[in-house]
Amino acid sequence: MVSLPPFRRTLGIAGSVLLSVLAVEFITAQQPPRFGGAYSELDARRQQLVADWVARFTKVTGQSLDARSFYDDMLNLSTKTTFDAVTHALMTTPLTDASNQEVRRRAVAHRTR
Amino acid sequence: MLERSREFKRALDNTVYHKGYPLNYREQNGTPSIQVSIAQDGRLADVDVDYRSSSFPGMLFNGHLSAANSDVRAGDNAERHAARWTGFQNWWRNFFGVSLDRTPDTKDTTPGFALPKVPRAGKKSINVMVPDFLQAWLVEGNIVAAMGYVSERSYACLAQDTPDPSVFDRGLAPVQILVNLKAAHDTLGKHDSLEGLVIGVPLPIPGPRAVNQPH
Repeated sequence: MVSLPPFRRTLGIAGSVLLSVLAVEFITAQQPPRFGGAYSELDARRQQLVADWVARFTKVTGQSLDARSFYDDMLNLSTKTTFDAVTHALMTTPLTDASNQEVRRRAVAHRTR
Repeated sequence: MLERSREFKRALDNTVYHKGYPLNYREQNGTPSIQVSIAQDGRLADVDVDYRSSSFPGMLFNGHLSAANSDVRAGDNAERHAARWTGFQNWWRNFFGVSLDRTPDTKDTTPGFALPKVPRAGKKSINVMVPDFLQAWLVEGNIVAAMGYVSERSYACLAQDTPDPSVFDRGLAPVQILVNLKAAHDTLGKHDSLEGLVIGVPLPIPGPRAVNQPH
């Protein structure tokens, strides 16, 4: 039996995996046109995912980077739409056990005790 | 947690795709569905949404093995997504204007980047790959090409070298290696060849096997 992380952590891992692909994007700065998908348009939970990953990246590399410019200027459209789709699917999928209890809520409660 | 849930079921382990993430959990009730692929140690996962059935033999013909399978922008994937998970906003449609039958060829404004999956020299003998790794790293300063020779299995070595391996950020292990390689290259400075840059030393650890080679 494998020890599985709580769903919330899985969501974080999902974001981490998606964003890790772009870890070494040292892109020549070119402001993309805004047609949606800006950091400011993300909900708080997604912003937290991005900010958490950027904080880890900053810690490892020592490079100064803020979550907003990372998301807006360094991520390409494909990554943003995939991030959007995967996190949306995870956030709107309820997890219930055999007794129809919501697994996610119980796990979060357990973590915050 | 997924093991306890009714919505996900453990499927056959991944062997070809999702390398390094063999434990395979699939959301039930048909496509589109979430697939969670988990590493053996349970600390990392690769999560994606598949828009085509993964069941055999349909997967051979319905595009499951193509890039469009997991690209929400392709074909009617966005509509499929919205039908399964409520509240999905197709904010990029205004950009493309029409739906796409396959993964968009449109160039992103910002190019994507990923570390190479295979060595630059190809999967050759150690006599070929080691010099090319050193050449890319120490002479060319092409750290990204050098990373093509770094196995994911080496990430565990980084964890072992940290004071507390349990808090090691494995998700950023490739970034850590990238930074270390670049720092070493920058410290050594510019060189036109490997001459004088590397010397052979005996490794007093069990495991490595000496190989005769011309360099």
